[in-house]
Amino acid sequence: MNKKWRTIFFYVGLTIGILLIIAGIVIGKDLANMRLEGSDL
Amino acid sequence: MFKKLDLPFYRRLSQTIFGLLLTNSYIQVITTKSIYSGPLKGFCIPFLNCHACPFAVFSCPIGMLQYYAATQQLPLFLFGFFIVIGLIVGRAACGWLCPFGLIQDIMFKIKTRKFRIPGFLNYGKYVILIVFVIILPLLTHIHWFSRLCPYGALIAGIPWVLWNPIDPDFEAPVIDLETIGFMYVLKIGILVFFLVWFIYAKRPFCRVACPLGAIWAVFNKISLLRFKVKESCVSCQQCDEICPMELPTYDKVDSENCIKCFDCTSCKHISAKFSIR
Repeated sequence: MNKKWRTIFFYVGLTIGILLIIAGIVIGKDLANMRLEGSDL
Repeated sequence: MFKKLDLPFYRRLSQTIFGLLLTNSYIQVITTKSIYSGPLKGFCIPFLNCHACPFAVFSCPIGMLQYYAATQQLPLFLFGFFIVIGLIVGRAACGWLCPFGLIQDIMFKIKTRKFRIPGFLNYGKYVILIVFVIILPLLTHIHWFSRLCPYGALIAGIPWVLWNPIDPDFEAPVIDLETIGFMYVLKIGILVFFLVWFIYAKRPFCRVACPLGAIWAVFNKISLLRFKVKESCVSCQQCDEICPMELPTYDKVDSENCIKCFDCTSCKHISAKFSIR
C-alpha cells in the first residue's frame, strides 16, 4: 500500500473511529449495555 | 528503537502484569462468590480475557461483540474502540498484553519436535470471527464463541466448576453441575487440543483461531506502529526464526499476522517506526 492511500485510510478511519466512540457514549449508551453477566461458562 | 532492551523479558513482564494480573484483580470474589459487575465491566480491553473469569475486572471485546450480535444491537462504541486502537498499534496487544499469548509462548519452550503451521490455516480466524462471533449469535441469539472459547474454559469454565462455592444469597451452589453438558465437555476438549498444539507450533491459537486477532490484523498495514526493512537486508532469515508468529519479516513486512512484538528488531536490518508515512 503506498503512502498516499495509507495516510488517507488512517485519517478517514481515525475520524470515523472517534465519531463512533462519541456516538456510542452519547447516543447508544453502549457503556451501560456492556455490563455483561457471567452466563457463558 | 528498543535495541538495547531485553525485549522478550519486558514482553513477558507486560503480559503478566497488565494482561494477567491487573485485568484479573477482583479478589473480593473470594467472599462475594459472584463475578464483578461494577462500572469497570462496562469497558473492554484490547485482548482476550473472559469476563466470566472469577477475578475479571474488565470485559472481553469479543464477548461484547457477540453479545451485541446476539441482542441485535449496533455497538457504536465498540466499533470505534476497534478502529482507533487498531489504527494506532495494530496487533501489538496480541504480543504485549494477551495472557493467552503468554501461555502459548511459554508452552512452545517445551523441548520437543516442532512443526510449522500451513499458511492456509491463517484464514481460520476470519471464518471464526464471521461465523461464531457475528452470524451465528445474530441468527440464534446464543453466544457461540464464548461457549467454545478455550481461554474462557481455562480461566472461567474450569475454575468455577472446580470451586463452585455456595451462593450466599440463594444458599445453593453457584453452578448447577447437572446443567453441565456436551458444550462444556466440547469446550474442554478444544482447550486440551490447543494446549497440546501450543507445545508443537508457535502461537497456533493466535494464527488460526483468534477472532480478535482477525480484527486487529485488518489494521496492521496502516497502523502507526510498523516496521521497516533496510535495503541492506541480505534475507538471512534470522527474523523468521525468532518471530513468534513464524513470519519472514524480510519478505512480508507488516503482515496481517505480525503481533508487533519487536523481536525481529534484534536484527540490525529491521527497525520499528511510529509514523503515518
